[in-house]
This record gives sequence, structure tokens and C-alpha cells, in this order.
Amino acid sequence: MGRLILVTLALLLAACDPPSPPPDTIRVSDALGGGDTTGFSRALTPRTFEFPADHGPHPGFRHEWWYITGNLDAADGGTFGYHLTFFRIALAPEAADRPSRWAARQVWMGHLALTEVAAGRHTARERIVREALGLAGGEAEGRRIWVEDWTLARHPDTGHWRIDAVTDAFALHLDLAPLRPPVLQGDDGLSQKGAAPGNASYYYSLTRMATSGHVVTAGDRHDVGGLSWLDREWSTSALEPGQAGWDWVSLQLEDGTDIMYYRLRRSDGGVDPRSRGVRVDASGRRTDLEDRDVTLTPLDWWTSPRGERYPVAWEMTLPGPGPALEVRAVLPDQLMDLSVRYWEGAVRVFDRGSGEQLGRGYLEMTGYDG
Amino acid sequence: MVNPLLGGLVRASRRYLTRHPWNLMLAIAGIGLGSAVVIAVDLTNSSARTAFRLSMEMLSGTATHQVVGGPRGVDETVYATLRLRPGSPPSAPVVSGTVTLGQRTYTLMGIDPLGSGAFRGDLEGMGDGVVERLLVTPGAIMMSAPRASTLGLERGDEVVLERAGGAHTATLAGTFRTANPAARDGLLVADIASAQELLGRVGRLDRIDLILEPGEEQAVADSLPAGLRLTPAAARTEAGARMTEAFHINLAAMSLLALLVGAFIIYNAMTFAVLSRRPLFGQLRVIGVTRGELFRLILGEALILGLVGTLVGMAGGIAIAQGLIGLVTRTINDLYFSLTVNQLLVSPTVLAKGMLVGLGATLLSALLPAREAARSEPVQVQRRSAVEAPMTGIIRRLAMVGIGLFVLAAGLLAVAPRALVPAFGALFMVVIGFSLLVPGLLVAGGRLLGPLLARVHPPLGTLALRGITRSLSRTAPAIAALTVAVAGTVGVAIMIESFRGTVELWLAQTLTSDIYVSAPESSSSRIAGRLDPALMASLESLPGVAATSRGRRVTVESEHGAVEVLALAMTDRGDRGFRFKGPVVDDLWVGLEAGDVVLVSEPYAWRHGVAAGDRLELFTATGWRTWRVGGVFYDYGSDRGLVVMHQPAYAAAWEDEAISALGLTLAPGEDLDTVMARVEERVAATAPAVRVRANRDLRAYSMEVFDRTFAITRVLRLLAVGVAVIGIIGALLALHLERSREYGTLRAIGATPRQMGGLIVLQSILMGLLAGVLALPLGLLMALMLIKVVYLRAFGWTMQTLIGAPLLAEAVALALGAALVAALYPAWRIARTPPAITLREE
Repeated sequence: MGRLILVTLALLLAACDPPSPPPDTIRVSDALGGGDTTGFSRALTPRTFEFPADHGPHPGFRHEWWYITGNLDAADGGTFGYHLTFFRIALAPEAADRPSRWAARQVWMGHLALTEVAAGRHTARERIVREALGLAGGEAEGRRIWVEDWTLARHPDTGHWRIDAVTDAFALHLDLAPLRPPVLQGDDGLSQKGAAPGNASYYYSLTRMATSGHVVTAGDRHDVGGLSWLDREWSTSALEPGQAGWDWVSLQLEDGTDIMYYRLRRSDGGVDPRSRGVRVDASGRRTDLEDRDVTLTPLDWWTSPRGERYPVAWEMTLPGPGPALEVRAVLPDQLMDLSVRYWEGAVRVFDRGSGEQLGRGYLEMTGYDG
Repeated sequence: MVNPLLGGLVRASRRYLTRHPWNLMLAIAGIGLGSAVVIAVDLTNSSARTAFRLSMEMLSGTATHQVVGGPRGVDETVYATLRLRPGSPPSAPVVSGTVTLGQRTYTLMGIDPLGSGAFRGDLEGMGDGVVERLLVTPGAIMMSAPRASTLGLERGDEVVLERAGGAHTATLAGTFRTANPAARDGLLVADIASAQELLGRVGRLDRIDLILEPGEEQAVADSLPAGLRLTPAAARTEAGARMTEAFHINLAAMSLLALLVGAFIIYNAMTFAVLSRRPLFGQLRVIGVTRGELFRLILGEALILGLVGTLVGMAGGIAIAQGLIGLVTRTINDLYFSLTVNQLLVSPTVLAKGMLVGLGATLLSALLPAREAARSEPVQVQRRSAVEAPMTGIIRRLAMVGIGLFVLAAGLLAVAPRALVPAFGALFMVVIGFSLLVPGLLVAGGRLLGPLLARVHPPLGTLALRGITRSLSRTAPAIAALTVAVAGTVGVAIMIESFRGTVELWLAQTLTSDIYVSAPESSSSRIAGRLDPALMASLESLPGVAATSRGRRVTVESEHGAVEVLALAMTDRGDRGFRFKGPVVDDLWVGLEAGDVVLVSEPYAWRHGVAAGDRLELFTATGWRTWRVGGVFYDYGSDRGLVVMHQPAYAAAWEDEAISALGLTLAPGEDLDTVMARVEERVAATAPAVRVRANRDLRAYSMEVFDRTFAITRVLRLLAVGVAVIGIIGALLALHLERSREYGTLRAIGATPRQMGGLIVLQSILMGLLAGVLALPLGLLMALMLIKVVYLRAFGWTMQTLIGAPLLAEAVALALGAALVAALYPAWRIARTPPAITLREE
């Protein structure tokens, strides 16, 4: 699922600097809770997805995101993990009717991070911008999704996605070519997150995109290639009281298998039975994953400067014959210490038994900030 | 090596001081009042400066640079373009203006609460749903938590904000916390959309704040469209601080005048303390007390008096400052910019400084008396003449020093022809120099008056005059103190009257239209208001209107910083309301209309050293452009200076066709009130916020602002006179009480109590008269220096010197009145004392 990071409450603290977030960081579960849903569309029943139309925004829903993660190898030998997300947050269902062009009802938040594996460095940046004066927004069919000078643009003819994002510390210029058709998550794309009807999202993924381009760090240009993953999700309400957070992985194995799985954690320490996932093998055959099919066991922990403990290596078992997997962060500290605090980082996947590397992916963990 | 007599010395000192409480009280009052005025003005000035700095910090936040535009501000799309450019530095849009809520003025600042974190770290409390409400609710504002509780407002309450363009309803969306008192008391924060709507500024920004790393400036500056400029944030603060500096220096100088008067009082009190103890000092010398010990004893006494006096001065200074701060901030608000802090900030540094100045003045004033005490011979020298004898020699020396100071002052003015502080230095040299001439002038005056008085009332008149001229060590400082105080009021009054008359005349010459219609504008914003063209057309076609002139007053950037520009579309008229100082270029009017010549006001020319024929660079909508200065005209509207150009030329250069004021001239024979009513009717129908004023009202208003500006000067003047009155009371008391024996003899030989009282009153009148007469030349000299040197240097204004006879008579009357008030108690006391007592005291 994704990454129900945030949302509305993220705005509350937007006035704070990323380097010194407020003591009362937003809890993700609060952010994605109910609130007043009057006037917004809800994810009540499965729908028919239409592409490329569904690559564009769905402004009737309160939250929406374009969530890209990827692992890249540089021609000069380095490896990178990157993560670029555009969150759309509707403050009110109806459009503003006011004289000022700054009056806006849609706010966009961009999160951008780069993990430089060799240097052991993880750098994260954030932008929060209203949809006004062309500062941020989303065009139909995903032709351009942008927050200021960070853009994700889908070419209408080739279907390739293009990323251009510059920060004071690094820059990404990447071309993403989908190698698979969209994978609908959950129940034909309806991803039920809570018990109540409508506490659900529409969710699909582009699980395997051949990526090429270049990364700029400290003024040095690195030509890179690798794989990326795009998650698309929109909802009006999702989490319910009692849900504390989740652990989410997206894994791209060298044998062509792509795996997504999220585990919803309850505040009482249990696992929510609505935890879900999907496995698609090289031939495109999909297997739905449910809570009872999958085990996730922490192997190693990393303690953040604030004292929060994040499991940064997991043992993961899946149904079927394959080996148990070891999912291990390329760097323990890939904490996104922004308006919303979560851990999001590049991982390597090993055969738990032989230690052989099987693939790479991304791991996201939320709700560990108490 | 402690002298065993030291304890006795201190006891003697204490006994003396406690036995002469009035002398003690007056000395303390003199030091106290003098230092109180200095401390009060210093506190007021430093509070106003701090208020200014805090206000600027409140406005600029943590920005290092700002993008500013011309008179119309910055187009909001410029910000979007800047943000969308890859790798652009942190930036934030700002819209700000002045609004009134209840009785107070606030700065309403529109920011982008989403991206302002790096810029507005000084405002805490943007949490808890506030940002969302600011964005979604039209008219949502924040204020500081203390302000909200003072106003009894809670989240969700509605308030009415008034600005020049009308009233708007706003909703309190939340409160912020801040360490900046300016922001706490005077800042309202809104989302940029609400601020644009509340301030009537849709589509425009006042500026874009930036946080730049060193070396990034050039790239940003180069990327800006024509008509926008990148300036360091500190530059604005500095420019603002410079604006008011002359004003602050003036106030400080006024306060030093009060201290100078106070110093005379201290001198007087200490001299009396020495003279009346002459016999004691003689005895002390006999039993082995050294000169040095006597010297230190007197200085020690002065130090104690000084300490007590300055402590009193501190309390008094704070109290006076409470009254002054309102006057000062009002003046700054009238003339310069809107300050949102107007409370007194009592700074320990300022208090300490005031204490040092007060103590320093006390010790300096006590030096001569202390030396006098040290001179005491180990013989009983009780005769007055022994004390007075050296005075005659001193008189000459004092006069020489006085003349020397005059020469020095002249030299100082010649050496530093532009600077303000040397001008004040010269002024003080003249004042001190003149007061050193006072003893000599008194002797001369006595010779002149002697025969006259002898004829009027032989015994009393002569006695009274001799009482003054024979006790110069006492009477001269008292008269000098009164002279300086009265001269100060004369000088300042002439200066103000001259200035006022000049301004009145100038207004009459400049305001040539009969009715003025002006667009609303807020003083704190660089963005000028505009009149609706349809309204202007309708007003210009009103029956009874013969001619019109259109004007646009805006602030633009010049090579010398921000400058006010007045663009005039003038009806063809010979003199056009301008009076020129010095030469003008040959093609003045042609060039002006062609758009390549501008006029600059006298303060502008003075500040920036510009003269007719020079070049002047202004930053237009298409970048820097050069104009020729056609001439320097007299203008008293702004001490920052004004540049005048032809309106069509302005409109072309700044791409701004708007007009902010319209002048209507009536056809001959038309009734002003009738036409006024027509104008008001049309304005009320379409644009109620537009202001309509008749020529006479505008003039009256201008003079009202003028008078408000000088209210503080008048207060300071009165304080100086108050100090002088205390001085003369002290001097008279000392004089008369010291003479008790003489008076006793007079009583014994048959003088009536009434005659005794008459003697004292006559003596006081003589002193007052002498002080009043001496104050006239000094006052005139001070006035001339203030007008021709100080004000010209401070503000660049040429003033005509207008000396009213009533003013001079008033000054003499003031001196006489002060002297009479001072005579009351001594006269009453002497008249009441039976002769036996005074004689027995022998």
C-alpha cells in the first residue's frame, strides 16, 4: 500500500524547518484517520481503472500520491537508492471561489531522498506548496506532476516517466520505462484498510520500470541505471483507531519476481488481518498475499537520534517453495525526518539460508515514533 | 595613611549638609532634573530605535535579501517563475500593509504559511490546524497570544479590520508566540491570499524574501525581470535608521541643554557650600587639614549629591520618558513609518550612561568650588571681599575662555561643513562661551544700571544692584543658568516659528489647487493607492472646475536608495508652484515635459550632493535610467527628499498609468463649498475610501502635523526653564540667607520688613531682567545656528529667519517671572525674621 504517509496533519507543522521538527511530530495514523469526509468521494466499491487517465489526479478524494522508489547503479561503480513522492492533499472538497489566485484547496507535498550507499549518506528534502499560480499540481494522465522544480512527467506517447528534481544537495534526472502493465492491488484495486466501508483506497503499482539517467551529488554527475517502482493510491479515509502504523516492502528480484507486502500493526501490538500484498512472477502470474501467508521477523534494529527503534533487517517468508528472504537496509539511517517522520530506505534481498543476493527493493516503516 | 581628622571632616561635612537642607535639596533637584531630562530623552530615543529595529526584524524575519519592485510592487507570477526554476534558493512571498483594529494600528503581513518555516522561525504556534484554517478560511488571521487575550478574543472570533480602502471582517484563526515585542504588539499574520484580499492587493506582492548563501546574489539578481531589484534585507533597516537619526540627535541635543543648565545649579550649590564654610575651612587648615583633603572633601560631597541627584534623575527620567515616548513615536509615525511598538523600554545601559553623565557634570561643576575650598588659608578669613576679590581677576580669564570658545566654534563649523554632530558641538561651545562672558557682562551692566537705579530709589536700588555685582561668584552662575535656559527657549522658539512660517508660506505656494482628491494608501507600504479613471474623468468634468492637475506619489529605488517620486501632470501655469534654490537648467520646462529632466527637492540635493545639471539614476520598470536634474526646489514635505517628474514620463518609465491624487481648481467666482459638495457626492457614490480635502483643510492638517512634530521640543524647552527656575531659587536663597547679617543690620537701623522684602524682590527682578536681556543675544545666536547650521545639516532645509518681537518680550518676561517666583520664599523669610536673631547669629 503504500504509504499512507501523512497527510492533512502534515500541514500543521509545515511551518517548521526540516532540521528541527517539532517535538510533537504527526502520527501517521492520526493523519490518515477519518476527519470530516463530507463532500469527498470514497473508495467504497471496486472500480474500473482506465489508463492513462488514472495516472492523473483524482481531486474528489482527499489524499493521493505518486510514490517512486528505486535502486540505481552508477557507471562509476557507486550505488544509490532514491525516493520521490508527490502527495496531494485536499483541504476542502469544493474549489475556492476567491479573488486572490493564492486561494487554494489543494496542497502538494514533495518528499525527495537519496541514499548514497558507499558514502553512507542519506539526504532527504521536503517541499509543501499549494496548488496555485502553477507552483504545484497534477495534469491529466500524469503528463506532469510537480511541486515547484520537482517534476514527474509521463510521456503520452512512449509511456515513459521522467523525473527531474533538483535540491541544494543533489539532483535526479531519470527516465523510467515500465516493463509491466499496472498491477492492481487489493481487491481489483480496492485496498481495504479499515473495517468500515470507505476506509479504503484505490491502489495500483507499476512494479518494474527500467531506469536510466543521471544523479548529481556534490556537483559530480553519475550516469546511472536500475529499477524503479511507482505506487499510486488515492483515498479519503483509510486508517482507523487502533491501527498504529505499518511495515511495507517493495522487492524486485533478479528472477523477475516483484513482491509488495504491507503489514498493518495494531496499537495493541498485534497484526491487523487486513494486511495485504501481491507477488507477480516473471511471467506476470500474480499471487495475492494475506496476513496468514506471510511472516515478517525483525533481525536487526537501528535506534534513531530520538531513541526510536526501527527494524532495519527482516526475515520474510512467503507461501510456496522459494527460500526465506532476508531484507536488509543498505544503510541503517534512512529516516525521513521531515514534517512527518518515517523510515524509508533502499534494501537488499538475500537468500536467508545461502546469503546469496536475490534482488533489491525498498522498505517503509511508520508508526515507530510513539 | 589616614588622617585622624578625617572622621571629623566627614562629620563636619554631614553637619553642614543637614543644617542647610534647602541648599542640599536644590543641588539634588538641579542634578536630578538635569540628568532626568537627559535620561528621559536617551530612553525615549533608544526605545524608538529599538522599536524600529524590532519592527524591521518583525517584517523581514530571517531573510537575507529581498526582491523589491517599483511603485506597484512585485507581480506575483514573478515568485512562481522563481520557484519553478530548478535549484532556486529558498524564497517566500510577502504582502504587508497597515490596518487598524480597534484603536490600534497593526501591520498585517501575508505570508505563505506552508513554505515560510525558514523565514518565520520567530513566530511559533503555526500548529494545531491553524495553517489549514489560514489557507481555507477567507480573512483568517493570527495574532500574538498576549494581544488576543488583551482584546478578549478567542479562536473563531470575528474582528473588523480597517484600512485606508475600507473595512473588512477577519476571523481569528489562531495565535502565535514570539519573542519580538513588535510582533507581539503589532503584527497580524494571514495567508497571502487573505492578505491580498484584505489589503486590496490581489495579484501583487510587496516583496519576495530570500535566504541566499554568499555568492548567490549575482545569479539571482541577473535572473530577475526588468523593474525588479535584489537588495540585502539589512539595507532597508539601515536606510530607515538613517532617516530618523537627525531627529534623534536633535532630541539628544535638547536634553544636553537641560543638563548644562543643571550643571550651573550644581556649581552654584557647591560654591555656596564652600563660601559659607570659609571660616570652618580656615580653622581646619589651622589644625592641620591639607589643601588636598579639603579639595577631596568638596568633591566627595559633590559625588554624594551627584549620586543622590542622578538616582532621583533616573526615577524622574523614566517618568518623563513615559510621557515623551508617545510624542516621539507619534512624530515618527507622522513623518517616517508606522512603528508598532510604543512602549518604553527601560535599558540599564541607558540608565548607567545617564548616571555617568550626571555624575560627570556634577564633578566638573564642583571642580572650581573645590579648588576654592582648597585655597583656604589657615587664618580666619571671613570677609566676603576676600572671596570676591579673586573674582575680578577670574572674570577676565573667564571672558577670554568664552571668546576662545566662540572662535573654536567658528573653526569647527568651517572645518566640518556638513556634519551634524560638530554643528551641535559648535552650538554648545557658543552657549558655554557666552555663559562664561556673563560675569563680565554683569559688571558692565551694573555700571550702566548703577546711576539709573541710584536715581530711581537711592538706597534700595543701589543696595540691590551691589548685592548682585559684589557677589558675582554666586549671582553670575545663577544668572548664567537662567540666561542659558531662557536663551534656549528663545532660540528654539525662533527656530520653530521660522520653520513654521516657512512651511506655511511654502504650503500656500505649493498647494495651488482648491480641492484635493487622493486615493487611500497605507503609510507602511511602498505600493501607492490609485484613483479610478472613471471617477477622475467625472470629477474633472464637474461644473465649476476650471483646471485640474494629476499626481502620482510613489517610492522608487534610486542610486541613493529608496526615494519618493512625485509625478505631476500639470496644467499649464507659469510658476507651477515651485520655488528654486540656485540655478536651473536652461531647458527646464521643456526638458521636464520631454521626460528627461527631473526636479529634486532641497533635502534630496543636500543629502546626496546633487545640483542642477547633475545626473540622477532611477530604477524603472525596464531597469536603470538616467535623468538630468533640472533644478533644486524648496520643499518641506519630506526630509528624505523628493524627486519630481512629468507624469507621462513617469507612466512610461514605470509602466504605471495610475494617478494617486487629483487637484481641482475652481473657476473664478465658484463657491468652494458648493463644488466640494458635488465632489464629495460623486466620490461617496463610487469610492467612499477616497479622501476629499479642501485646500484650507489640507493646509490646516499639514500645520497640525508640524505642530505635533515639535510638541516634544516644546516640552523639553519647558523642562530646561524648570531647571533654571530651581537654579535661580537656589541662588537667591543662598544670596539672601548668607546676607542675613547685613539684613539684620538694615533692620536694626530701621528698615521695615516690607522694605526688606522689597529689597529682595527688587534684587530678583534685577537678576531676572539681566538674565532676560542677556538671553536675547544668546537666544538669537542660538536660533541662527539652529536654522542656518543645525537644521540645514540635519534635514537640508533652508528656512527664513522670522523673529517676532512678542517672542523676545516673552523671553524677558519669562526670565522676570522665573526670578520673581524664586524671590517669593526668601523675601517672605527675611521679612519675617526679627532683626535680633540675625544679628545674634553673629
